Amino acid sequence: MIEMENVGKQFKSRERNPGMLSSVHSLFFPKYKIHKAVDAVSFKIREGELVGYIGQNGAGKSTTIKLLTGILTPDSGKIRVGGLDPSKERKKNAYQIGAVFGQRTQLWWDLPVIESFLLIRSIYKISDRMYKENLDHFIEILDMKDILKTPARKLSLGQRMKADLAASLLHNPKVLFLDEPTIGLDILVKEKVREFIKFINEKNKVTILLTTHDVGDLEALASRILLLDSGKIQFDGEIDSFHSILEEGHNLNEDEKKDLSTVIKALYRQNAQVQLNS
Amino acid sequence: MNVYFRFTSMSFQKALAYRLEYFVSLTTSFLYIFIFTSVWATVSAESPDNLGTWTGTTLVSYAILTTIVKVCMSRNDQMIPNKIRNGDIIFDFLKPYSYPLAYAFDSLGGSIFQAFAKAIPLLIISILIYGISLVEYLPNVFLFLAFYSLGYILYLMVGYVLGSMAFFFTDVFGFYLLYYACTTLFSGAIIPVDLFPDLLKTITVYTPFPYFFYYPTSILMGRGDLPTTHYLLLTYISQIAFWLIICRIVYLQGRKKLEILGG
Repeated sequence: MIEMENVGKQFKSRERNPGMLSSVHSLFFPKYKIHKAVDAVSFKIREGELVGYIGQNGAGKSTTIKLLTGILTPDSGKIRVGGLDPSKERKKNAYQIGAVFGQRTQLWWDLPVIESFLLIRSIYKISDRMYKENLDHFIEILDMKDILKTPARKLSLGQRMKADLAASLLHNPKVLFLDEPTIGLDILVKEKVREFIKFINEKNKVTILLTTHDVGDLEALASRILLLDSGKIQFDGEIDSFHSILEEGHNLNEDEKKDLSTVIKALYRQNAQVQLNS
Repeated sequence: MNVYFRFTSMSFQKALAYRLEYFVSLTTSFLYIFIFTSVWATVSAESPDNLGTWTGTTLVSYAILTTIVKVCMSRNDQMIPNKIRNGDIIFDFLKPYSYPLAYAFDSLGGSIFQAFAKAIPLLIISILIYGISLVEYLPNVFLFLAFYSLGYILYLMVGYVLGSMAFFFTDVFGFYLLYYACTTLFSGAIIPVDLFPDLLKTITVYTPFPYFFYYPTSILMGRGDLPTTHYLLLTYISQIAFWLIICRIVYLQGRKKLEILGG
Protein backbone atom coordinates (compact mmCIF):
# COMPACT_ATOMS: atom_id res chain seq x y z
CA MET A 1 0.00 0.00 0.00
CA ILE A 2 2.85 2.40 0.88
CA GLU A 3 6.27 2.12 -0.68
CA MET A 4 9.34 4.32 -0.34
CA GLU A 5 12.49 3.43 -2.20
CA ASN A 6 15.74 5.32 -1.56
CA VAL A 7 13.84 8.53 -0.98
CA GLY A 8 15.86 11.64 -0.23
CA LYS A 9 14.77 15.16 0.62
CA GLN A 10 16.99 18.00 1.66
CA PHE A 11 16.36 21.57 2.71
CA LYS A 12 18.57 24.60 2.34
CA SER A 13 18.66 27.00 5.24
CA ARG A 14 20.48 30.27 5.72
CA GLU A 15 23.10 30.39 8.42
CA ARG A 16 24.71 33.35 10.14
CA ASN A 17 26.78 34.15 13.17
CA PRO A 18 25.28 36.19 16.01
CA GLY A 19 25.66 39.96 16.16
CA MET A 20 24.82 43.04 14.12
CA LEU A 21 27.89 42.98 11.88
CA SER A 22 27.31 39.34 10.98
CA SER A 23 23.73 40.08 10.05
CA VAL A 24 24.89 42.83 7.66
CA HIS A 25 27.60 40.53 6.29
CA SER A 26 25.11 37.74 5.68
CA LEU A 27 22.87 40.14 3.80
CA PHE A 28 25.52 40.49 1.08
CA PHE A 29 27.34 37.19 1.46
CA PRO A 30 24.74 34.65 2.52
CA LYS A 31 25.88 31.22 3.68
CA TYR A 32 23.63 28.24 3.30
CA LYS A 33 23.53 24.94 5.09
CA ILE A 34 22.11 21.82 3.50
CA HIS A 35 20.03 19.71 5.84
CA LYS A 36 19.19 16.16 4.80
CA ALA A 37 15.71 15.71 6.27
CA VAL A 38 15.25 12.27 4.72
CA ASP A 39 18.21 10.27 3.47
CA ALA A 40 17.77 7.18 1.26
CA VAL A 41 14.73 6.00 3.17
CA SER A 42 13.18 2.71 2.04
CA PHE A 43 10.28 0.78 3.51
CA LYS A 44 7.06 -0.94 2.53
CA ILE A 45 3.78 -1.01 4.43
CA ARG A 46 1.17 -3.61 3.62
CA GLU A 47 -2.56 -2.90 3.33
CA GLY A 48 -4.23 -2.78 6.75
CA GLU A 49 -0.97 -2.51 8.71
CA LEU A 50 -0.60 -0.06 11.57
CA VAL A 51 3.02 1.02 11.77
CA GLY A 52 4.58 3.19 14.46
CA TYR A 53 7.04 5.69 13.01
CA ILE A 54 9.33 6.96 15.71
CA GLY A 55 12.40 9.09 16.06
CA GLN A 56 13.68 12.10 17.91
CA ASN A 57 12.57 15.64 17.10
CA GLY A 58 13.99 16.67 13.73
CA ALA A 59 14.61 13.06 12.67
CA GLY A 60 12.53 13.53 9.49
CA LYS A 61 9.25 11.85 10.47
CA SER A 62 6.96 14.71 9.54
CA THR A 63 8.89 15.29 6.32
CA THR A 64 8.29 11.63 5.41
CA ILE A 65 4.55 12.12 5.92
CA LYS A 66 4.58 15.27 3.81
CA LEU A 67 6.36 13.35 1.06
CA LEU A 68 3.84 10.51 1.26
CA THR A 69 0.92 12.91 1.08
CA GLY A 70 2.35 14.73 -1.95
CA ILE A 71 2.79 18.03 -0.11
CA LEU A 72 6.54 17.86 -0.67
CA THR A 73 8.35 16.56 -3.74
CA PRO A 74 11.25 14.16 -3.14
CA ASP A 75 14.70 15.09 -4.45
CA SER A 76 15.45 11.46 -5.23
CA GLY A 77 13.93 8.01 -5.00
CA LYS A 78 10.50 6.58 -5.66
CA ILE A 79 7.30 6.86 -3.65
CA ARG A 80 4.07 4.95 -4.22
CA VAL A 81 0.90 5.19 -2.17
CA GLY A 82 -1.84 2.84 -3.37
CA GLY A 83 0.04 2.63 -6.67
CA LEU A 84 0.14 6.41 -7.17
CA ASP A 85 3.05 8.84 -7.16
CA PRO A 86 1.87 11.36 -4.53
CA SER A 87 3.74 14.41 -5.81
CA LYS A 88 2.84 13.86 -9.47
CA GLU A 89 -0.72 12.67 -8.86
CA ARG A 90 -1.49 14.83 -5.84
CA LYS A 91 -5.23 15.22 -6.39
CA LYS A 92 -5.83 11.52 -7.16
CA ASN A 93 -3.75 10.53 -4.17
CA ALA A 94 -5.67 12.94 -1.95
CA TYR A 95 -8.87 10.91 -2.42
CA GLN A 96 -7.27 7.77 -0.96
CA ILE A 97 -5.47 9.33 1.99
CA GLY A 98 -6.30 11.21 5.16
CA ALA A 99 -3.92 12.96 7.52
CA VAL A 100 -3.94 14.42 10.99
CA PHE A 101 -1.19 16.69 12.21
CA GLY A 102 -1.41 16.89 15.98
CA GLN A 103 0.08 20.34 16.15
CA ARG A 104 -2.15 21.85 13.47
CA THR A 105 -5.81 21.81 12.61
CA GLN A 106 -7.62 21.56 9.32
CA LEU A 107 -10.79 22.99 10.87
CA TRP A 108 -11.88 26.52 10.02
CA TRP A 109 -10.93 28.46 13.10
CA ASP A 110 -13.84 30.89 13.30
CA LEU A 111 -16.65 28.63 12.14
CA PRO A 112 -18.60 25.81 13.79
CA VAL A 113 -17.01 22.38 13.33
CA ILE A 114 -19.93 21.18 11.22
CA GLU A 115 -19.07 23.80 8.56
CA SER A 116 -15.61 22.25 8.14
CA PHE A 117 -17.23 18.84 7.78
CA LEU A 118 -19.59 20.19 5.11
CA LEU A 119 -16.64 21.67 3.25
CA ILE A 120 -14.89 18.29 3.35
CA ARG A 121 -18.05 16.64 2.04
CA SER A 122 -17.97 19.01 -0.94
CA ILE A 123 -14.22 18.63 -1.48
CA TYR A 124 -14.34 14.82 -1.63
CA LYS A 125 -17.80 14.70 -3.24
CA ILE A 126 -19.01 12.42 -0.45
CA SER A 127 -22.52 11.09 -1.04
CA ASP A 128 -25.22 12.17 1.42
CA ARG A 129 -25.62 8.62 2.66
CA MET A 130 -21.92 8.00 3.27
CA TYR A 131 -21.53 11.40 4.91
CA LYS A 132 -24.42 10.79 7.27
CA GLU A 133 -23.32 7.27 8.11
CA ASN A 134 -19.74 8.29 8.83
CA LEU A 135 -20.66 11.41 10.73
CA ASP A 136 -23.19 9.62 12.95
CA HIS A 137 -20.66 6.90 13.56
CA PHE A 138 -17.84 9.30 14.51
CA ILE A 139 -20.14 11.39 16.69
CA GLU A 140 -21.04 8.27 18.62
CA ILE A 141 -17.56 6.78 18.98
CA LEU A 142 -15.74 10.05 19.63
CA ASP A 143 -18.51 11.60 21.67
CA MET A 144 -18.67 14.75 19.54
CA LYS A 145 -22.36 15.62 19.64
CA ASP A 146 -21.90 18.75 21.72
CA ILE A 147 -19.09 20.28 19.72
CA LEU A 148 -20.49 20.28 16.19
CA LYS A 149 -21.96 23.76 16.45
CA THR A 150 -19.00 25.22 18.34
CA PRO A 151 -16.36 27.30 16.49
CA ALA A 152 -13.03 25.43 16.31
CA ARG A 153 -11.24 28.21 18.21
CA LYS A 154 -13.41 27.51 21.25
CA LEU A 155 -12.67 23.78 21.42
CA SER A 156 -10.34 22.18 23.92
CA LEU A 157 -7.31 20.39 22.49
CA GLY A 158 -8.97 17.01 23.00
CA GLN A 159 -12.20 18.09 21.32
CA ARG A 160 -10.24 19.60 18.46
CA MET A 161 -8.26 16.41 17.95
CA LYS A 162 -11.44 14.32 17.87
CA ALA A 163 -12.93 16.67 15.27
CA ASP A 164 -9.71 16.59 13.23
CA LEU A 165 -9.69 12.80 13.29
CA ALA A 166 -13.29 12.68 12.12
CA ALA A 167 -12.56 15.26 9.42
CA SER A 168 -9.68 13.19 8.07
CA LEU A 169 -11.84 10.06 7.82
CA LEU A 170 -15.15 11.35 6.45
CA HIS A 171 -14.22 10.32 2.90
CA ASN A 172 -13.23 6.74 3.90
CA PRO A 173 -9.53 6.97 3.01
CA LYS A 174 -7.55 3.77 2.50
CA VAL A 175 -4.48 5.25 4.15
CA LEU A 176 -4.27 7.45 7.22
CA PHE A 177 -1.21 9.41 8.27
CA LEU A 178 -1.22 10.40 11.89
CA ASP A 179 1.47 12.82 12.98
CA GLU A 180 1.54 12.90 16.78
CA PRO A 181 -2.24 12.61 17.18
CA THR A 182 -2.11 12.29 20.96
CA ILE A 183 0.27 15.16 21.66
CA GLY A 184 -0.84 17.22 24.63
CA LEU A 185 -4.00 15.20 25.31
CA ASP A 186 -5.11 14.11 28.77
CA ILE A 187 -5.17 10.41 29.63
CA LEU A 188 -8.88 9.93 29.05
CA VAL A 189 -8.95 11.60 25.64
CA LYS A 190 -5.74 9.81 24.71
CA GLU A 191 -7.41 6.47 25.48
CA LYS A 192 -10.45 7.45 23.43
CA VAL A 193 -8.31 8.49 20.47
CA ARG A 194 -6.28 5.26 20.66
CA GLU A 195 -9.45 3.18 20.77
CA PHE A 196 -10.75 5.01 17.75
CA ILE A 197 -7.52 4.55 15.77
CA LYS A 198 -7.49 0.85 16.62
CA PHE A 199 -11.13 0.54 15.62
CA ILE A 200 -10.76 2.10 12.18
CA ASN A 201 -7.64 0.05 11.54
CA GLU A 202 -9.23 -3.25 12.51
CA LYS A 203 -12.78 -2.75 11.27
CA ASN A 204 -12.24 -0.57 8.22
CA LYS A 205 -8.81 -2.02 7.34
CA VAL A 206 -7.34 1.46 7.03
CA THR A 207 -3.55 1.39 6.62
CA ILE A 208 -2.06 3.68 9.24
CA LEU A 209 1.34 5.28 9.62
CA LEU A 210 1.55 6.74 13.09
CA THR A 211 4.33 9.05 14.24
CA THR A 212 4.49 9.55 17.95
CA HIS A 213 6.76 10.23 20.90
CA ASP A 214 4.34 8.46 23.19
CA VAL A 215 5.38 4.91 24.01
CA GLY A 216 1.83 4.22 25.16
CA ASP A 217 0.59 4.83 21.61
CA LEU A 218 3.06 2.31 20.24
CA GLU A 219 2.27 -0.32 22.83
CA ALA A 220 -1.47 0.12 22.39
CA LEU A 221 -1.55 0.33 18.61
CA ALA A 222 1.51 -0.58 16.58
CA SER A 223 2.43 -4.06 15.47
CA ARG A 224 5.55 -2.87 13.69
CA ILE A 225 8.01 -0.08 14.34
CA LEU A 226 10.10 2.06 12.01
CA LEU A 227 12.81 4.01 13.78
CA LEU A 228 14.15 7.04 11.92
CA ASP A 229 17.23 8.91 12.98
CA SER A 230 18.99 11.75 11.14
CA GLY A 231 16.87 11.01 8.11
CA LYS A 232 17.81 7.31 7.96
CA ILE A 233 15.84 4.22 8.94
CA GLN A 234 17.66 2.60 11.88
CA PHE A 235 15.19 -0.11 12.69
CA ASP A 236 12.31 -1.75 10.87
CA GLY A 237 10.63 -4.72 12.49
CA GLU A 238 7.98 -6.16 14.73
CA ILE A 239 7.46 -4.42 18.03
CA ASP A 240 8.42 -7.60 19.92
CA SER A 241 11.76 -7.89 18.18
CA PHE A 242 12.43 -4.23 18.98
CA HIS A 243 12.95 -5.19 22.61
CA SER A 244 15.68 -7.62 21.80
CA ILE A 245 17.86 -5.63 19.45
CA LEU A 246 19.94 -3.93 22.05
CA GLU A 247 23.57 -4.67 22.24
CA GLU A 248 25.57 -5.03 25.39
CA GLY A 249 26.76 -1.42 25.21
CA HIS A 250 23.45 -0.12 26.47
CA ASN A 251 23.87 -1.70 29.89
CA LEU A 252 20.22 -2.58 30.16
CA ASN A 253 19.14 -5.48 32.27
CA GLU A 254 16.53 -7.99 31.13
CA ASP A 255 13.68 -6.11 32.83
CA GLU A 256 14.69 -2.82 31.28
CA LYS A 257 14.82 -4.46 27.84
CA LYS A 258 11.14 -5.33 28.21
CA ASP A 259 10.21 -1.72 28.75
CA LEU A 260 9.75 -0.07 25.36
CA SER A 261 10.35 3.39 26.71
CA THR A 262 13.77 2.41 28.12
CA VAL A 263 14.70 0.67 24.90
CA ILE A 264 13.82 3.71 22.79
CA LYS A 265 15.72 6.03 25.12
CA ALA A 266 18.77 3.76 24.91
CA LEU A 267 18.59 3.73 21.12
CA TYR A 268 18.24 7.50 20.95
CA ARG A 269 21.27 7.85 23.23
CA GLN A 270 23.22 5.40 21.10
CA ASN A 271 22.40 7.26 17.89
CA ALA A 272 23.21 10.61 19.47
CA GLN A 273 26.56 9.23 20.56
CA VAL A 274 27.30 7.89 17.07
CA GLN A 275 26.54 11.31 15.61
CA LEU A 276 28.69 13.02 18.21
CA ASN A 277 31.61 10.71 17.46
CA SER A 278 31.30 11.10 13.72
CA MET B 1 -22.79 22.61 -3.24
CA ASN B 2 -19.77 22.99 -5.50
CA VAL B 3 -16.59 22.92 -3.45
CA TYR B 4 -15.43 26.38 -4.53
CA PHE B 5 -18.78 27.99 -3.74
CA ARG B 6 -18.55 26.30 -0.35
CA PHE B 7 -15.34 28.31 0.16
CA THR B 8 -17.26 31.45 -0.78
CA SER B 9 -20.01 30.60 1.68
CA MET B 10 -17.58 29.87 4.51
CA SER B 11 -15.57 33.00 3.88
CA PHE B 12 -18.83 35.03 3.98
CA GLN B 13 -19.71 33.45 7.33
CA LYS B 14 -16.20 34.03 8.65
CA ALA B 15 -16.50 37.74 7.84
CA LEU B 16 -19.57 37.86 10.05
CA ALA B 17 -17.74 36.36 13.01
CA TYR B 18 -16.11 39.60 14.11
CA ARG B 19 -18.66 42.37 14.48
CA LEU B 20 -16.37 44.99 15.99
CA GLU B 21 -13.94 44.66 13.09
CA TYR B 22 -16.85 45.24 10.72
CA PHE B 23 -17.89 48.50 12.39
CA VAL B 24 -14.30 49.74 12.59
CA SER B 25 -13.66 49.08 8.90
CA LEU B 26 -17.00 50.65 7.93
CA THR B 27 -15.99 53.79 9.83
CA THR B 28 -12.55 53.74 8.18
CA SER B 29 -14.08 53.52 4.71
CA PHE B 30 -16.38 56.41 5.46
CA LEU B 31 -13.42 58.42 6.72
CA TYR B 32 -11.69 57.81 3.38
CA ILE B 33 -14.76 59.10 1.56
CA PHE B 34 -14.87 62.13 3.83
CA ILE B 35 -11.18 62.92 3.30
CA PHE B 36 -11.18 62.49 -0.49
CA THR B 37 -14.42 64.38 -1.05
CA SER B 38 -13.15 67.24 1.15
CA VAL B 39 -9.87 67.39 -0.77
CA TRP B 40 -11.58 67.39 -4.17
CA ALA B 41 -14.17 69.93 -3.07
CA THR B 42 -11.36 72.26 -2.00
CA VAL B 43 -9.19 71.65 -5.09
CA SER B 44 -12.09 72.18 -7.48
CA ALA B 45 -13.05 75.40 -5.72
CA GLU B 46 -9.46 76.74 -5.65
CA SER B 47 -8.28 75.78 -9.15
CA PRO B 48 -11.17 74.65 -11.36
CA ASP B 49 -9.15 75.27 -14.56
CA ASN B 50 -6.60 72.53 -13.88
CA LEU B 51 -9.07 69.68 -13.67
CA GLY B 52 -9.54 68.87 -17.35
CA THR B 53 -13.01 67.52 -18.01
CA TRP B 54 -13.67 67.02 -14.30
CA THR B 55 -15.82 69.31 -12.18
CA GLY B 56 -16.13 69.57 -8.42
CA THR B 57 -19.34 67.50 -8.49
CA THR B 58 -17.96 64.72 -10.71
CA LEU B 59 -14.78 64.51 -8.63
CA VAL B 60 -16.76 64.14 -5.40
CA SER B 61 -18.87 61.43 -7.06
CA TYR B 62 -15.68 59.74 -8.30
CA ALA B 63 -14.14 59.83 -4.81
CA ILE B 64 -17.25 58.18 -3.34
CA LEU B 65 -17.72 55.59 -6.08
CA THR B 66 -14.08 54.61 -6.34
CA THR B 67 -13.95 54.04 -2.56
CA ILE B 68 -17.05 51.87 -2.77
CA VAL B 69 -15.62 49.89 -5.70
CA LYS B 70 -12.44 49.43 -3.66
CA VAL B 71 -14.43 48.25 -0.64
CA CYS B 72 -16.20 45.64 -2.79
CA MET B 73 -12.91 44.20 -3.99
CA SER B 74 -12.05 42.16 -0.96
CA ARG B 75 -8.96 40.00 -0.75
CA ASN B 76 -7.28 38.46 2.24
CA ASP B 77 -3.69 39.59 1.74
CA GLN B 78 -2.48 37.83 4.88
CA MET B 79 -3.92 34.43 4.01
CA ILE B 80 -1.28 33.01 1.66
CA PRO B 81 1.88 34.37 3.38
CA ASN B 82 0.59 33.32 6.81
CA LYS B 83 -0.30 29.84 5.65
CA ILE B 84 3.08 29.40 4.00
CA ARG B 85 4.96 30.77 7.02
CA ASN B 86 3.16 28.73 9.67
CA GLY B 87 2.84 25.62 7.49
CA ASP B 88 -0.97 25.45 7.45
CA ILE B 89 -0.82 25.43 3.65
CA ILE B 90 -0.25 21.67 3.94
CA PHE B 91 -3.99 21.21 4.42
CA ASP B 92 -4.65 22.92 1.10
CA PHE B 93 -2.14 20.74 -0.70
CA LEU B 94 -3.45 17.66 1.07
CA LYS B 95 -6.87 17.95 -0.50
CA PRO B 96 -8.05 17.39 -4.07
CA TYR B 97 -8.76 20.96 -5.12
CA SER B 98 -6.94 23.77 -6.83
CA TYR B 99 -5.45 26.03 -4.21
CA PRO B 100 -5.42 29.19 -6.39
CA LEU B 101 -9.11 28.69 -7.18
CA ALA B 102 -9.92 28.09 -3.52
CA TYR B 103 -8.15 31.36 -2.73
CA ALA B 104 -10.16 33.19 -5.40
CA PHE B 105 -13.53 31.85 -4.23
CA ASP B 106 -12.63 32.48 -0.61
CA SER B 107 -11.93 36.11 -1.53
CA LEU B 108 -15.23 36.25 -3.40
CA GLY B 109 -17.06 35.40 -0.18
CA GLY B 110 -15.35 38.35 1.52
CA SER B 111 -16.30 40.60 -1.39
CA ILE B 112 -19.95 39.60 -1.30
CA PHE B 113 -19.98 40.36 2.40
CA GLN B 114 -18.33 43.73 1.79
CA ALA B 115 -20.77 44.57 -0.98
CA PHE B 116 -23.82 43.93 1.20
CA ALA B 117 -22.54 44.95 4.58
CA LYS B 118 -20.33 47.90 3.68
CA ALA B 119 -20.87 49.17 0.14
CA ILE B 120 -24.63 49.56 0.48
CA PRO B 121 -24.50 51.44 3.82
CA LEU B 122 -21.67 53.62 2.47
CA LEU B 123 -23.66 54.39 -0.65
CA ILE B 124 -26.75 55.31 1.36
CA ILE B 125 -24.75 57.51 3.74
CA SER B 126 -23.04 59.19 0.78
CA ILE B 127 -26.34 59.85 -0.99
CA LEU B 128 -27.76 61.38 2.16
CA ILE B 129 -24.72 63.51 3.00
CA TYR B 130 -23.33 64.44 -0.42
CA GLY B 131 -26.53 64.18 -2.42
CA ILE B 132 -24.89 62.27 -5.29
CA SER B 133 -27.31 61.11 -7.95
CA LEU B 134 -26.96 57.58 -9.28
CA VAL B 135 -29.82 57.77 -11.76
CA GLU B 136 -27.63 59.18 -14.53
CA TYR B 137 -25.20 56.25 -14.10
CA LEU B 138 -27.85 53.51 -14.36
CA PRO B 139 -27.46 52.95 -18.16
CA ASN B 140 -23.78 52.10 -17.55
CA VAL B 141 -24.35 49.55 -14.80
CA PHE B 142 -24.08 46.38 -16.93
CA LEU B 143 -20.91 47.51 -18.66
CA PHE B 144 -19.53 48.54 -15.27
CA LEU B 145 -20.31 45.11 -13.79
CA ALA B 146 -18.54 43.37 -16.69
CA PHE B 147 -15.38 45.44 -16.31
CA TYR B 148 -15.58 45.37 -12.53
CA SER B 149 -15.60 41.53 -12.73
CA LEU B 150 -12.58 41.51 -15.04
CA GLY B 151 -10.83 44.00 -12.78
CA TYR B 152 -11.59 41.83 -9.77
CA ILE B 153 -10.11 38.75 -11.47
CA LEU B 154 -6.96 40.75 -12.19
CA TYR B 155 -6.93 42.09 -8.64
CA LEU B 156 -7.06 38.52 -7.25
CA MET B 157 -4.30 37.35 -9.58
CA VAL B 158 -1.96 40.13 -8.53
CA GLY B 159 -2.78 39.40 -4.89
CA TYR B 160 -2.11 35.72 -5.41
CA VAL B 161 1.28 36.36 -7.00
CA LEU B 162 2.18 38.78 -4.23
CA GLY B 163 1.17 36.37 -1.45
CA SER B 164 2.94 33.47 -3.17
CA MET B 165 6.21 35.36 -2.97
CA ALA B 166 6.28 33.85 0.53
CA PHE B 167 7.15 30.53 -1.12
CA PHE B 168 10.45 32.10 -2.14
CA PHE B 169 11.05 34.71 0.58
CA THR B 170 10.00 34.10 4.13
CA ASP B 171 8.95 37.67 4.83
CA VAL B 172 6.99 39.45 2.11
CA PHE B 173 6.05 42.55 4.08
CA GLY B 174 8.31 44.71 1.89
CA PHE B 175 6.54 43.50 -1.26
CA TYR B 176 3.22 44.52 0.24
CA LEU B 177 4.51 47.97 1.14
CA LEU B 178 5.66 48.46 -2.44
CA TYR B 179 2.37 47.10 -3.77
CA TYR B 180 0.26 49.36 -1.56
CA ALA B 181 2.33 52.39 -2.60
CA CYS B 182 1.87 51.48 -6.29
CA THR B 183 -1.86 50.88 -5.81
CA THR B 184 -2.27 54.23 -4.08
CA LEU B 185 -0.53 56.00 -6.96
CA PHE B 186 -1.52 54.07 -10.08
CA SER B 187 -4.96 52.62 -9.34
CA GLY B 188 -6.82 55.89 -9.47
CA ALA B 189 -8.09 55.26 -5.95
CA ILE B 190 -7.06 58.80 -4.99
CA ILE B 191 -6.43 60.74 -8.19
CA PRO B 192 -8.17 59.85 -11.48
CA VAL B 193 -5.54 58.56 -13.90
CA ASP B 194 -6.48 61.03 -16.65
CA LEU B 195 -5.33 63.87 -14.39
CA PHE B 196 -1.78 62.41 -14.38
CA PRO B 197 1.00 63.98 -16.48
CA ASP B 198 1.30 62.28 -19.90
CA LEU B 199 4.42 60.24 -19.08
CA LEU B 200 2.96 58.90 -15.85
CA LYS B 201 -0.30 58.14 -17.63
CA THR B 202 1.58 56.12 -20.28
CA ILE B 203 3.41 54.12 -17.60
CA THR B 204 0.23 53.57 -15.60
CA VAL B 205 -1.72 51.86 -18.37
CA TYR B 206 0.94 49.15 -18.61
CA THR B 207 0.58 48.30 -14.92
CA PRO B 208 -2.41 46.28 -13.67
CA PHE B 209 -3.41 48.94 -11.14
CA PRO B 210 -5.76 51.30 -13.06
CA TYR B 211 -7.81 48.27 -14.13
CA PHE B 212 -8.83 47.63 -10.53
CA PHE B 213 -10.67 50.83 -9.63
CA TYR B 214 -10.12 53.64 -12.14
CA TYR B 215 -11.57 52.12 -15.31
CA PRO B 216 -14.62 50.43 -13.71
CA THR B 217 -15.52 53.62 -11.82
CA SER B 218 -14.99 55.78 -14.92
CA ILE B 219 -17.15 53.39 -16.97
CA LEU B 220 -19.92 53.62 -14.36
CA MET B 221 -19.74 57.40 -14.50
CA GLY B 222 -19.81 57.32 -18.30
CA ARG B 223 -16.60 59.33 -18.61
CA GLY B 224 -16.02 60.42 -22.20
CA ASP B 225 -12.23 60.37 -22.14
CA LEU B 226 -11.91 56.57 -21.93
CA PRO B 227 -10.61 54.30 -24.70
CA THR B 228 -13.27 52.42 -26.70
CA THR B 229 -14.95 49.45 -25.00
CA HIS B 230 -13.34 47.01 -27.47
CA TYR B 231 -9.87 48.38 -26.87
CA LEU B 232 -10.39 48.39 -23.13
CA LEU B 233 -11.66 44.81 -23.22
CA LEU B 234 -8.60 43.74 -25.19
CA THR B 235 -6.33 45.45 -22.65
CA TYR B 236 -8.07 43.72 -19.75
CA ILE B 237 -7.79 40.34 -21.45
CA SER B 238 -4.09 40.95 -22.18
CA GLN B 239 -3.43 41.89 -18.55
CA ILE B 240 -5.35 38.84 -17.28
CA ALA B 241 -3.51 36.52 -19.70
CA PHE B 242 -0.14 37.93 -18.60
CA TRP B 243 -0.91 37.59 -14.88
CA LEU B 244 -2.37 34.13 -15.41
CA ILE B 245 0.98 32.99 -16.75
CA ILE B 246 2.76 34.59 -13.79
CA CYS B 247 0.32 32.91 -11.38
CA ARG B 248 0.97 29.52 -12.98
CA ILE B 249 4.75 29.92 -12.82
CA VAL B 250 4.67 31.14 -9.23
CA TYR B 251 2.37 28.27 -8.19
CA LEU B 252 4.44 25.52 -9.80
CA GLN B 253 7.82 26.91 -8.75
CA GLY B 254 6.50 27.84 -5.31
CA ARG B 255 5.30 24.31 -4.62
CA LYS B 256 8.76 23.00 -5.46
CA LYS B 257 10.29 25.54 -3.09
CA LEU B 258 7.92 24.74 -0.26
CA GLU B 259 9.79 23.89 2.89
CA ILE B 260 7.77 22.94 5.91
CA LEU B 261 9.85 21.52 8.66
CA GLY B 262 8.50 19.91 11.76
CA GLY B 263 5.01 18.73 12.66
